[in-house]
Amino acid sequence: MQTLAVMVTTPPHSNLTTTAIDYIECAIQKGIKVIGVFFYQDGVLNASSYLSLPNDEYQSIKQWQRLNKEYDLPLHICVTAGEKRGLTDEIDDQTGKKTQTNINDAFILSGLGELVELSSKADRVVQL
Amino acid sequence: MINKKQSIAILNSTAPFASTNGKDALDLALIFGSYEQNTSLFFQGDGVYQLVKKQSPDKISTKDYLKTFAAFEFYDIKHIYVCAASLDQRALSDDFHIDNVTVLTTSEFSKELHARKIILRF
Amino acid sequence: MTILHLIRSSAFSSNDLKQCISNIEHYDNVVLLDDGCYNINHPLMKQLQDKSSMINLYIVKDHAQARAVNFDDISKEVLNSITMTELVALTFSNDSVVTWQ
Repeated sequence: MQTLAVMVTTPPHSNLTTTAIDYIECAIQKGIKVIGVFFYQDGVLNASSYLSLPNDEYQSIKQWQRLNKEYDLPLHICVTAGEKRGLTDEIDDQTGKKTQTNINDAFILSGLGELVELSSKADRVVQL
Repeated sequence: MINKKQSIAILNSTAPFASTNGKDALDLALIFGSYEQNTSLFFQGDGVYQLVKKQSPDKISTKDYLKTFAAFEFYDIKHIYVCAASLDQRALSDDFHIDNVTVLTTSEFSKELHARKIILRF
Repeated sequence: MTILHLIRSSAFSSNDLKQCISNIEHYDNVVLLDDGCYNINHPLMKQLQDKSSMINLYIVKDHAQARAVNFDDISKEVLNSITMTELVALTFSNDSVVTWQ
């Protein structure tokens, strides 16, 4: 099975992100194993749980959630890029566990090492 | 687990300060290097401005991330390529703030880029 | 080793297409998508079309139609329209991908 990793650098309100979502879904439907999406630069903004896109506009966040759920697609956001843009996790004082306060549950906070791992496993890496 | 080495090209096409592209590309290059991937850096177009000597980013309250370029050797990033035509167009010399930079003709530059498995552009 | 070049911006506002053209080799594939579709009427298109014997040039149909970019006048020997699924196939028929955005 052919494998693919995608790096997304565009924000949720950009039509370029719509292109990335279309591309990824077409790949999955074509039988390509998409091993992960890595969100870098402004791409991390796709993971904000505070996103509120007008109802009559393209709901990129719903599409990412759907891809994650329907196809078990791992969505990694770069922690450094996230923190620069106000996205972070917190350690709960009571339980000592990490909670993703303003990051949508469909996304995982990851380091750049995750991108190296995806790159080493995928047959192709596409930046969108 | 990182199970295989890939040849990675990081292609820099943006001038250093107005956007974060240069810094973001540097972070990627260092991480790929530290995982012992076969990483090469390519500078073309406005990306060549990242190699110009005697820049003073402190004057515009910007962190001097360019000085980290000196660590490329430590991170095992062996190949640093620059497009000669991009230097010429910008009236820049090949006197860079780091050593071990290879200046290539446009056609050599393209051929080196084609030899890489993964190309990320910033 | 062939490269799939993805052109996502208009050359009327960025240098990306020009830079891409300097990195094209025999048998490479070039795809116009997103605002890259507007390049169809840019002077640099001539340089791409001149290379049509050595490369394959494509445009993503939905992206062109969304922008009322008409490519009917261009011969299919020079420019082919493709779907997103065909773009995925091109990703794997080339050795690597560069996104010019």
